[in-house]
Amino acid sequence: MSVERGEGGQTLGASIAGQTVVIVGGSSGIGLATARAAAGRGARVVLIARSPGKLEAAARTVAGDVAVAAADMLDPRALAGAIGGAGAIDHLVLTAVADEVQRIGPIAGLTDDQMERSIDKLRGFFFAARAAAPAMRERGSIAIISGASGLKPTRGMSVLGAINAAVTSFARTLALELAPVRVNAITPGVVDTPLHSDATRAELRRWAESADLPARHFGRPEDIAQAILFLMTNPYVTGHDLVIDGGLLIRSPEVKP
Amino acid sequence: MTAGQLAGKRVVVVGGTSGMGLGAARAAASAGAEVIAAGRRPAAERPAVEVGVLRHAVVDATDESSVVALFDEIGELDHLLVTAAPSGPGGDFLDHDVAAARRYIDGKFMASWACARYAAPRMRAGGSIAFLTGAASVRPRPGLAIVSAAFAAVEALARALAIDLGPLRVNVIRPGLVDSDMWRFLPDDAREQLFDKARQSFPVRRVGSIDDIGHAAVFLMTNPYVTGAVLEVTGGEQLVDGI
Repeated sequence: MSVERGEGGQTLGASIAGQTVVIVGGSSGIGLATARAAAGRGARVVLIARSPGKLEAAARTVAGDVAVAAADMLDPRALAGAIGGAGAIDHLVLTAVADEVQRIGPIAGLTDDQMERSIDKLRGFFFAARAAAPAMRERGSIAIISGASGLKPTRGMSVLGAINAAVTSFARTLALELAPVRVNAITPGVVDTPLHSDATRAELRRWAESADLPARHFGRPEDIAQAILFLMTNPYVTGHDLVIDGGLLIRSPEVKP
Repeated sequence: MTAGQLAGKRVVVVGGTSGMGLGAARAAASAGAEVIAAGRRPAAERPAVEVGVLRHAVVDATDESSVVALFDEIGELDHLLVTAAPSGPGGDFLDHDVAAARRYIDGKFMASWACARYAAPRMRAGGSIAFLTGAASVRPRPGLAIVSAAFAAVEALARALAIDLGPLRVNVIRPGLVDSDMWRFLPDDAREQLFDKARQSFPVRRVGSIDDIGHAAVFLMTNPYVTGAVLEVTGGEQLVDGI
């Protein structure tokens, strides 16, 4: 084998240094991990979430240029105000809703309120995308977090699954409408976030690290954040649904002989 | 992508001597990996990479003993990317015979299979395999039936190997139109016409580069939770009518 040597250590993809990254739902989990990753690469990060207290606490854990704006994603006027305050936007990230697991249950027992709160994910993402669209820079991007229940039927998640499928479809259509702004969906599998109780997290970890999940890895918010940063910086990915689930969706039902 | 994230890793790109494979070899090298670019082309005739550390190896991926010898020589590795593909059969379906179809399947599908088969036992923990296909796997073009079938087979192989070889991760890059050597067969003005049409109709308003593919390849090598996935790097080609 012949050997060739040159200069190493270049950064791949576009730089986000100095760019404005707006994260709706940025006070915990995937949103917060994305804020840290983006700020770590020199972006100016604006976190938007409902609770001012949680937002301030979250922002203190982000090293770099970070600002916060408290707004309820379901209050179109307040949300538009918060997004408008960010100025021109390079990248918009719409992340999952915090208390999703409270809305899981068999259809006969789902309340009107549980159904409405599930649909709120699409409602809020719509309000955010509509408010941000005119402020998006031409080479910018939008990343929208969907969920594996949108692709794989999951008991108790009839409405949540339908909404995740809707959210992915929403992203693909925006990729066409807002071009050349790039718009992608991300479908995470099970991720270690505060969405789950401590007991559930321990159980999920055991499952994820067993042979039941091909990657044998309990997905971390940082893994999804890395994928979101990839989508921000690769100029040729749009209209894609990036599935990042450790192999959850390709497994067959277990049939033991 | 931050620099140095493949530091200390050994990456093998079969088909890494030109086009998208070269883009991936260059990206992995600039992320700090020791890269082995393997292909049929003799080392002296290959374009320079000029970043990081790159070793050249010669392999005929359609020849099992050549693949075995390649991985014997390399020893342990962290990541494998197979981009090698023969040129399409040309002409229409009704012009082809079984031998022509088989040559394509051998050059694309069996070569991918063989590289995975002989690399997997030497892969270190945290490793990954990726294959390169193309939009034809889901949106066929006239005269490319065997190419569509081979790409779809490679994508199915990736999902199956994600199960068989876990926790090794196995993924696919499905590129769209990319400005690479692949289009050299067209006269300059015809090629420029094709690229112009793409710039007008693709959502991103540009034609992909081999560096875009390299960036995607490094993402799939470094993210510990992505497996069994197809990553489309297409500029949104799948959202619009064909050109």
